[in-house]
Amino acid sequence: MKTFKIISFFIASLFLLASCDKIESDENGNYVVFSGATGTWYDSDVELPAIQRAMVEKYTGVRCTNCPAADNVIHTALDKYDDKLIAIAVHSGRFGEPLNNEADLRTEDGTAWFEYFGIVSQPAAMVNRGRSGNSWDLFTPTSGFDDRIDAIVNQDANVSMQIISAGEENGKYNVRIYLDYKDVVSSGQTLTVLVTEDDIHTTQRGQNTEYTDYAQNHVLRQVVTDTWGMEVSSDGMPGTKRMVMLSFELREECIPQNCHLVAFVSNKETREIINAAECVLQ
Amino acid sequence: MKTKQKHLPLLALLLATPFLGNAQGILGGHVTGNIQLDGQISHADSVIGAADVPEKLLMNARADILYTNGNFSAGLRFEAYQNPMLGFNSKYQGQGIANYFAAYNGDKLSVTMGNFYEQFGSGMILRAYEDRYLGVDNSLLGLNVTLRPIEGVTLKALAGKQRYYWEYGNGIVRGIDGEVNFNSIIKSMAESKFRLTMGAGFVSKYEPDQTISYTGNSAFRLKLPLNVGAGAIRADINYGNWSLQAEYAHKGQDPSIMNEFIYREGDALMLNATYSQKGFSANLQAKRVDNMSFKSVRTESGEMLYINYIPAITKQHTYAFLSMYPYATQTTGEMGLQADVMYKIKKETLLGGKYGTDIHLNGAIITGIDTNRIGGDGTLGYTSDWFKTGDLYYADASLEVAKKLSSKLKLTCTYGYQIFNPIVEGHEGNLHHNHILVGDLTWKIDKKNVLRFEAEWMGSDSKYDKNIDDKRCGDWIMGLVEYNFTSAWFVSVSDQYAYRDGVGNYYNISVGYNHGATRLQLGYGKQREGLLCIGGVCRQVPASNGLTFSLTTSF
Repeated sequence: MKTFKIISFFIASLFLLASCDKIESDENGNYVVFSGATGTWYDSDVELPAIQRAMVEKYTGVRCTNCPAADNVIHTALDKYDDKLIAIAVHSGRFGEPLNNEADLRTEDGTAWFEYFGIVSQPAAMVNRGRSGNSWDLFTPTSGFDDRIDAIVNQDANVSMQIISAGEENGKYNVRIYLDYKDVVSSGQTLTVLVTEDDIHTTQRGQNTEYTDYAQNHVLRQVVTDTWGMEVSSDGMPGTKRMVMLSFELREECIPQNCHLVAFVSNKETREIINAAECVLQ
Repeated sequence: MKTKQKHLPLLALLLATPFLGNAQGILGGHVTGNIQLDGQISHADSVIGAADVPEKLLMNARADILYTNGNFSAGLRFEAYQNPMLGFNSKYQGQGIANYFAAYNGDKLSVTMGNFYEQFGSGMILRAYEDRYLGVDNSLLGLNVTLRPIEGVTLKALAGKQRYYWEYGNGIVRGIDGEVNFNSIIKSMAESKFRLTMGAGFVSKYEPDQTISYTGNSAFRLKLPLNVGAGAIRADINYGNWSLQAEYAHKGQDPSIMNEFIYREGDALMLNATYSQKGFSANLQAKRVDNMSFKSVRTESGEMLYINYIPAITKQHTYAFLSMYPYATQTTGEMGLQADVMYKIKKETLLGGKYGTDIHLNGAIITGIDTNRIGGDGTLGYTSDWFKTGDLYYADASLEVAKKLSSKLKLTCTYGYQIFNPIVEGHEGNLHHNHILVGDLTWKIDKKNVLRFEAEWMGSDSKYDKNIDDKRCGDWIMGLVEYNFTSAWFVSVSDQYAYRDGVGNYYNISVGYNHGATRLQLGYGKQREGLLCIGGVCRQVPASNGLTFSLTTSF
């Protein structure tokens, strides 16, 4: 029995010692952690495929009776374009006022955009904050808008983008954004990073009905950067590769596993979106 | 002058313990030890590249003292490097107590506290050892426990920090090992011709986190594993005249300066098969090593702080030209095979003659491993096909025939062929192909007088190039005469000369005196720069020109 105890002790020690560290690589196969200051731009060595994505930005609300129909149309488009199309739902305006004392899905940033873009009816949508003549190209997304998407995603990307959710540390989420310039971008640019959340169940008005347990998806929950983004530090020349890391606290009411991160680069002057990227929050 | 005396009070306490506890211990115990003193005076020589030594005299000295009393023992080692001899790391400069321990050695339990040396299996995951000629001391300062609960079972556990010149490395090494001899624990196998011993070990090192920049992007640093583990299993099988030793080791992610901070896991396999009978033995060894450099400090690139040891499978030659190109084990990756055959031609045969003839044939080939690079630091580094070889690193074949010509004359003739890739020493250049011939004649004049003659020739396709400055290049000849007289004195004169495509004329004369356990040796001459390798572990020896002396004694 004594011998058995001694051997057991050694076997237990073996398992204790066996706890050596296993480091997981990031999406690029690198075993690295960010060591610089957040919000600082650095040169990058990450080469990205020249994928041009479109972002549809829907202004919606729980009191908007035509919004469920718009959700169906956008859902169909997302199925068709897969990762080349990113959707965000900006609950805003009077139609966005909560029903039955439920959570208010409107945000200060969403309201600022709602007012800036001059939304007067909902649902309303824009693709890449494009313009039609001198006005914003706003449309009612209750019918297909593939032509607007095609006009963007069929182009070659001037700037390729990648967003990586780099984990949580001390209650803060780290996110890295990589830019890979494929062609000259002569204008100044801003980078906007935001959080969307899926599967938020609320009451939602519809045509002649009221859904009591409606799943709201792609809901804008917070903007990590400034409302209109942060300045991109880049010379905009082909071959330039830049990256930045941001760190933020997720709003308490958000369920992390239902959240996505969305980033887009805009023309600083025109606010037109140049490219966008999305990833799951981790 | 650096003096290391901080351990003296502790040592005094350790040594005094048996005296304090049991007065009879004074009478029962005994003290043994040994002393070694090596010195060197070297002058500048532009031809061989010897630099002037500002101190004029360099000296390495050490004294080991061991006190034993029954199952208890305690010891210390005093070392002095004033200043370190050429080729030894300047970090050794200083003197003091370099090693101290107290130990209990019982039948079932052994415990060592202080500095200790230990090895698991062949050493592929742990070998704490020292070699004074290499300037290597990887002793661990800590605790080492060995249990032998039943006959045939040995369990070891240890923890400690490794010696780093006069300090200790930051990393903590923990290890456990178990070995079972089945012939001892299974009664029915006790008398069997089939002998089986199996073992397994695990070693883990802990090192605090530190900032190591990622060269691909200054915004990032490497995400380092703080605990790195390595495990090994081994078997020793014997049946009649046959034996087989096998050991496989695996190491977890261990980014370090040795592997350029890649995250690929390492592994190593050693196989050793032997057949032997009277007058004949054959041995075949094979190994594959992939990313198995294992140090307790990830940023240490020198000869110290190795936790493990990868055994060499090339022959350790003794003749000067055969050992001019020693092979240094490439712990980052290599594959190798060695075959060794010894045969004694019987007496009173045509080839054996009156005294018989010994034939020794040896061949080895070492290559790199196949690698496909996928990135630099902060990545997995490379992929490797397990069975594909990389560049040729080293190959040699030698045939040695030794024959006693008469009761007083013995002749040994050796032919060797070597291919050496300078890349294993970090140099560019073509492969060196060397043919070597050695003749060694020993004449026992009488019981007290022996005269030995040695003649060597090496023909090489390498040519001395000032830019590369490899002074081994070219064709060489050598002669040596050694005379041992009165059983106590010896004198030796030798000269190595690069007669074509090389540089240097290295003459040496040495005189020695042996008396009991004391040996005194005095030498004068030139030493060619190169590598000194023992068991595949090497140190760079710079050129020197002058006097050397050595005194060793034990008591």
